[in-house]
Amino acid sequence: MNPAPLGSAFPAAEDPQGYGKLSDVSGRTTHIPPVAPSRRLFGYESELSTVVGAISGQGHLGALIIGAAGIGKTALVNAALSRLDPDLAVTRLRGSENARVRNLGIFEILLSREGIDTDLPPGRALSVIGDLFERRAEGVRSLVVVDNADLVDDHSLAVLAQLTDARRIKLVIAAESARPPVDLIAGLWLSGSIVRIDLDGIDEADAAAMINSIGLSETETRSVSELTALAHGNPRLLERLLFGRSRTSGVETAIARVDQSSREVIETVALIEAVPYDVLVGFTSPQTIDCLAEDGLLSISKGRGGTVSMHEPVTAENVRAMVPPSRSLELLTRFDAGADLSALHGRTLFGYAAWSISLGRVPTPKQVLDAAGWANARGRYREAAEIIRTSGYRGPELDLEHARSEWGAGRLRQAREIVDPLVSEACLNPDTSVQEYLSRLASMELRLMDPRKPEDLRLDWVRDTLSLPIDVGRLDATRARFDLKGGRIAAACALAESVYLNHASSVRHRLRACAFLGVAEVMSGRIELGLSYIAQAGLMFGLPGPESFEREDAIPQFFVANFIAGNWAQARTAMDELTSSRRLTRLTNALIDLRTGNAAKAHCILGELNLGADPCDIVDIAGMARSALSLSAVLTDQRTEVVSIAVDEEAEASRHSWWASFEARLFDLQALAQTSPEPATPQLYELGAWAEEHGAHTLACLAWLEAGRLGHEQAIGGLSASAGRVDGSLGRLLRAVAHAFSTDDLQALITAAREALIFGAVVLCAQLSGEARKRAVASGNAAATKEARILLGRSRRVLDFDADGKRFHANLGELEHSIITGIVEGRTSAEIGEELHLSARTVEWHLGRLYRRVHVANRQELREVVTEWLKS
Amino acid sequence: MAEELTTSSGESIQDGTTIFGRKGELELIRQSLRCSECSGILIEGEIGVGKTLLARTAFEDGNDGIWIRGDRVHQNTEFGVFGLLIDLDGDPSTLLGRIVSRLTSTRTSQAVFVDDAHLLDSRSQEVLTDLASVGSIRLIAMSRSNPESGVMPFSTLVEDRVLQHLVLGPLPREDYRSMIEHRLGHIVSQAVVDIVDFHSKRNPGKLIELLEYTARRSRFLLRRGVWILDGHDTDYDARARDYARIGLADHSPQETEALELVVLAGEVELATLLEAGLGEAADALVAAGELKIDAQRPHIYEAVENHTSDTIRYTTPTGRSREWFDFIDSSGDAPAEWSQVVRAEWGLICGAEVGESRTIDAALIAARLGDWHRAMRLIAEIPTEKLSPHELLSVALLYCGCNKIPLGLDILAHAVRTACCAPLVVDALVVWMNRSSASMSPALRLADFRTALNRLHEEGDGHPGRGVDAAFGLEFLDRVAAVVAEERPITVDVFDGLTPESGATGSFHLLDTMLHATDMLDSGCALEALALLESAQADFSNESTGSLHLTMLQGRTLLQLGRIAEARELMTTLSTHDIAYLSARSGPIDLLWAQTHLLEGNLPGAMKALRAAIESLTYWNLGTQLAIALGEAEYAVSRVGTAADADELHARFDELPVTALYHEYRRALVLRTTARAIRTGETRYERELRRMLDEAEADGAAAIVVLIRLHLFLHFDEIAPEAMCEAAAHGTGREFVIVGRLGAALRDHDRAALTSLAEEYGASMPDLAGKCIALAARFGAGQSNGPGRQNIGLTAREKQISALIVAGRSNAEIALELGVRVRTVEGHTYRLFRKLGVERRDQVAEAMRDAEGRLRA
Repeated sequence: MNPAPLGSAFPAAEDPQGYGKLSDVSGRTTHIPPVAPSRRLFGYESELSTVVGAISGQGHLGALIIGAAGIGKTALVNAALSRLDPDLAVTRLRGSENARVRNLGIFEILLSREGIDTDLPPGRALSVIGDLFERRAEGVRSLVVVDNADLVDDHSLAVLAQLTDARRIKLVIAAESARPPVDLIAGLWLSGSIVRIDLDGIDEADAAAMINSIGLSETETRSVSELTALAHGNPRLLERLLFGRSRTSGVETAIARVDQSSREVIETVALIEAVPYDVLVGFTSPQTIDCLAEDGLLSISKGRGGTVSMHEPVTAENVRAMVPPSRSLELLTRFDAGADLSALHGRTLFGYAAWSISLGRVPTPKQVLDAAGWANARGRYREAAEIIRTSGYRGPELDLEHARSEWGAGRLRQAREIVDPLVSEACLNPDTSVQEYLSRLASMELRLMDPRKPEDLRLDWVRDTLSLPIDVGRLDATRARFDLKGGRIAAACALAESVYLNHASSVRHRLRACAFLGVAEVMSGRIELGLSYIAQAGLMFGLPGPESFEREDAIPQFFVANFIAGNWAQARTAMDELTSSRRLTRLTNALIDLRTGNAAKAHCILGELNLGADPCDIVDIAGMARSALSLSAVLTDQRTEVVSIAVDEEAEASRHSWWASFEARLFDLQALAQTSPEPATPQLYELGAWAEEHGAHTLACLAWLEAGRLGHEQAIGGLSASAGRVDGSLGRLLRAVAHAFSTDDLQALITAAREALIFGAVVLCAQLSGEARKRAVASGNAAATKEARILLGRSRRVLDFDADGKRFHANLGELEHSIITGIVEGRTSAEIGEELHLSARTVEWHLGRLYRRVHVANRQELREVVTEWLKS
Repeated sequence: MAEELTTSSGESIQDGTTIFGRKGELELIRQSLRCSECSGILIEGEIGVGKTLLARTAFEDGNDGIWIRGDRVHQNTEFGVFGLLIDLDGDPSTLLGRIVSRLTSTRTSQAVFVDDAHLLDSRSQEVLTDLASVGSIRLIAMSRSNPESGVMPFSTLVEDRVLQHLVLGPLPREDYRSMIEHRLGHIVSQAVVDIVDFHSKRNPGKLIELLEYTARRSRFLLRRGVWILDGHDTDYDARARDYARIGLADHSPQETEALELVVLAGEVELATLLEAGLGEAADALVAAGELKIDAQRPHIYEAVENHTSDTIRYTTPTGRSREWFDFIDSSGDAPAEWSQVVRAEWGLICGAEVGESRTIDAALIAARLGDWHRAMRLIAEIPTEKLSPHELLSVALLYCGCNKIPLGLDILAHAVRTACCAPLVVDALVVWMNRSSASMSPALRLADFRTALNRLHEEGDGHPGRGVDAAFGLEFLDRVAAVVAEERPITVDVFDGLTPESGATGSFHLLDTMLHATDMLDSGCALEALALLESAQADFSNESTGSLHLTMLQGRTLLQLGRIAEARELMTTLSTHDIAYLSARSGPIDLLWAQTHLLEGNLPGAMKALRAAIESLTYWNLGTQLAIALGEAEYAVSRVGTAADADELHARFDELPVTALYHEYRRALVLRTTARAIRTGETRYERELRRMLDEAEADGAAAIVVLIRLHLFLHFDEIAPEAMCEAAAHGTGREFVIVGRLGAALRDHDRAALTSLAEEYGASMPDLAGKCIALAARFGAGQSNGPGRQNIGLTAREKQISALIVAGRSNAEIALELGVRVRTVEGHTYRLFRKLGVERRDQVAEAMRDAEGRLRA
């Protein structure tokens, strides 16, 4: 086949996917698909193999690919074509507005080359075009690829369907929906002749891969899940979000096509962000709205007080940006005149208020307060602050809401500046304020104060003036948070429980209380109970009510509780719900990696992250991360001596967290213990004693475990005494270890190592089993030696190669691969050697090296390990 | 059993497609290609039912068929679809002639396959009709059931019997299940079958689409080789919806409108439909089965629930939906309960004003009718602060039913703390006993009930005289607290000396009924238990998990009485298609199916159903029935499966919480003890069984006594005719009959009675039949000593392996020698040991010598 004339837009050099295979059907560049140059296909792996299978297999006659514009249909088709037999006769056709209105529009060029007019009636066209493809394909079956099938005339599609059904061609069709005219092709899908593939956007993991591939992981402030949601998983829109490229989407082309009155509706909706359906109906007919919704431009939320918004949030931004101020004002005037403004609530009120203010028309103070309150509840702090500021209104309640925005946005100094006079005012005239306001104000004060200094609180008296359970609940739950962060665990526990058990309080405050309760219980050793609280709090997010406060307060607790309890899987996913910062998720994952023995990985991530305090952090986790970094550095031999132990260098006292400072210190001391155990050991013991004093038995045990491993007698005593107070699987591990430390019993050591492995504490298991093996060898106990060796091997393997051996396989040479394959298939060294033209001795030598790397003793064990890895 | 047939030709429509349950139909099509009395066949059926696939299969058998397909573009062109066969570009005057000669070119009449014949142009239809009626061609036409024109193509030929007529309907149920299992590759639980059945109307094309949807969205969960349904709310993607919408496009615009209106409203009066000008269209839909009319209320048109109606409710554009809603709301009819629910939800979806009380009422009705997700969607809008204690109780039950138990218990705690009357607290206590006595929810503890009851005791009841009072509640609470403290299962003892006041309804009454019924079953009073359950069933139209328990017990009792048909009826009746409800129901129904299969002697089927039941019951926290399911499974596996599987089931039983409500717990204990005894051959389990026998005799648990007697006879070779007769005299039911007849026959050495027993129960209890025949033979031979290992009946493989064992080989060596896996050898040796009655390898040689000696003697 000759390379096709690809036109000036796509020089052949930039043709990574092999469009040189294209036959010369199109002739004109308009019919060449707009290939995104060198864009990798992210996601859609299974879809890709389905398409390839459908084209090349015997079972199907082709594929129908459905998905929104920009979702990646063309990229998928291109990727599929590049995998196919190069001798296949491919004909590419592409629908367009112009082709659609002409009979057999997409075949125009094809037919004109044969000197045939397109003015063919149905039936006759079938004969002619069928003939044409027969001749073109020269015996092999042709593959016809149609892009943009929504913009193809009925007649052309009917011809293609007939040709496919008669098995003259194979067909790949990409369209935005199965609505007519594509129904003609959908018939083939329904009768099972072709497969249908739906592209509904790439998922978060693929989006993350895509974002990372363009090197944006750190600079982007929005989280991947947020970006994915904004772009509806549409790669093209995602790219635009990231680069601000102004490539128009299908939706925008569609908007350009609508009539004047629909355009006005769209612009109004985009400017307000969301309009109540009832209000919008006052400006246009229900049919118009239905049509715009059917076309995928608007979407109407289901449920009480349904609202209309733009289907694609990104597009809404563009539309907004394109409306000039004069037109915007005109639309606002018309909206003000026609709409019942009292019907605006929540999002719609916020959008309206923001829009009005931007044009210099300030709504009522009540409207501003409500709008800002809604924005704060949704975590849109900057916007909330913005509308309060620009409205020019002041007042205690507005100021408090403003402080909430500033706090949420991480501007604590500004928040404190706003709150201070409010607190003074309230202290001066304690009786003039309503209880709800006082409760909110006191809660805000708690958030802005150093949790270690309860005596500095000025609104302590507020608690006694409150009578409504909801106000008490709000304040008490926040106070519980304050106490928990200050390390007053018992007090936090009692307060949180009182709120949680009071159903008269609101679900929101009970949810927060439930989460605090969970963490407090886990810290104090009642792990099972604590985790059941955490599970309960998680479910309570499904009830109506929870807002941004609940997310910010509760979700970190989910992480902390699972982290302490060693539920790594849950701890990893806990922060996903919190979309405020991707950095935080990466950070927590690094902490988990460090605890589970992946020091190298943790070191790598922590090294990439900016470990300065970030305004978006809800608690000061940066100090903990710095300590974690130093530990990971020591563990990976990047640093041999610990420079300094981080003292409490505090950026912002109100962010202090007792737990975080405990963990930070534990990391520091573990790092120190690696290089100079003598000074570290007593300090580890004291850290445990300090936790024990606060009633945190679980944490105390974790510190004493480290000290005990280094042989600290008192720590071992403390561990033995306190481990009994910790339940759950962690408690079982602690008790086994305490027992092993306090006796000389070899078997106890092995039991502890086994428990550690079951629990997933591979580092600990490696250490315990290593010690056990040493002792077993010394005492000549063969059985114990073997058991210890196996435990050691299993934990070392996890540490070296991950649980599934992925890293192991990646590090194998070709020869080693062949040898391992031979071993798995049960061949002898001689047989393997014969195959590889090596002597049996050489094979044995390689095997010996492999045994040591995989920590096994013989080929039987090697086979078991590799088979296990292959399974997962 | 399912019929399967693989398409004969390699080039089938789908790679490796297996056609399920259409063997007869395919044969009919093939016959019509040959038969002398007809010229072909008309295949009729809706989209996805398999018309094309069947015809394609027949088409590919032959080698000279012609395949054409109608479509909406070529429908308007004369002979349009023949464009690929002949050159339509040529001289138009010779066109017809060329077509006819192309179709009749061969000596034998050529087969012409016409797909989508309802979209064929009229001239082509004419020609094909003429040619077929004179027998010049064979015609195989496929058509939708209700073509737009209203006239079925080639219907005159069908009337004249020139063409045969084949209407493809839904697949038979068994084939359907096999097809799902074939596609998913594992056991499927009842919920999976139910939901696929409901949404696809057993249309194979739709089934495939639906399974692809569930795979895309991971709606089915694989638990230990069993597919169960997640039970989350319906959330169909665009593709699943397209399927339904394409089906809708078959209707005229009027019909579509009428269908939308009735589906959205749940039901519409004829007068209202006439007002909207849709009367005729609605009648057409009734004729097509898309709408229905209840014989009791002939003026009301009701919606039929299926995937399409679900789709309509979620995809009707808001504007149109709102207009319809206002129209129906102003019509002022008084809809039935179900429609009230549908309409309240409709209002919510389209954003119309629906009052809070109307929403709550609708949610409560929905919960009661078993439409849990609808209820949850409705109630989700309403903060719990606004609900009354009784409403809270209902919502709590709802959350528990949908497997959100911590949340349910939290709401239950709210209900208890604000309780206005004692019956509510007692009801809540029962729910708590069912759901949490083991897990100890942090939200709600036993003390909370006491606080609430004490409060009511002091302050007085909000609704005095309606059910039990606080004093009764406190006494009941003491009993429960004692049971919890002593860590024993909750049994009918909690009611000892407590006389619940009449008129008690709700969960408490349900508990009372269930515990008494279980006790009656244990005591052999199956008929009485059935009467009790039936009378209770009438009190609970309430479709909560509670009534699932009742249904389960009722079915179990019917099976015990041998009334299988009635039990089947109970199992196949479905009152709702809610996903959560179907999921929760799955375990209990699978368990019933298993017990039915056991009665019918279908041991593999029973094992599959038991595994499905165990996974569903575990996932859905229906621990009440888990004990008996595990017990039955362990007993069954001990007879047919591997020891490892049985041990695993045994371990799972051991993990069950001790303090809980269980159905047939004692029976489960007997089954697992016997199973263990069979497996290990250790005498201590047999002793354990005898201890249970003594205990049961002392308690008057006649059914347990009979069961143990039966096991002793079957598995421990005990022949105790007197004791068997005595045991059988104390109750009714299938096992009593068997043991009674056995006892009498053994006592009288009655060969004929034994033989007839063997014949009767040979299918369902082969081991019983074997025993009976062996004994009958011995009685005939005049032997009277205890039964020995007379006919050990080793298979060839077992003989081979026993020889190798005698030769001192290890299992691994045997495996190597025979070229099988070690596990397989272990299975063989396990069965071999059992047959020989030995426990160790070194005993095999002696046992074999003994057996041979006996055979020679």
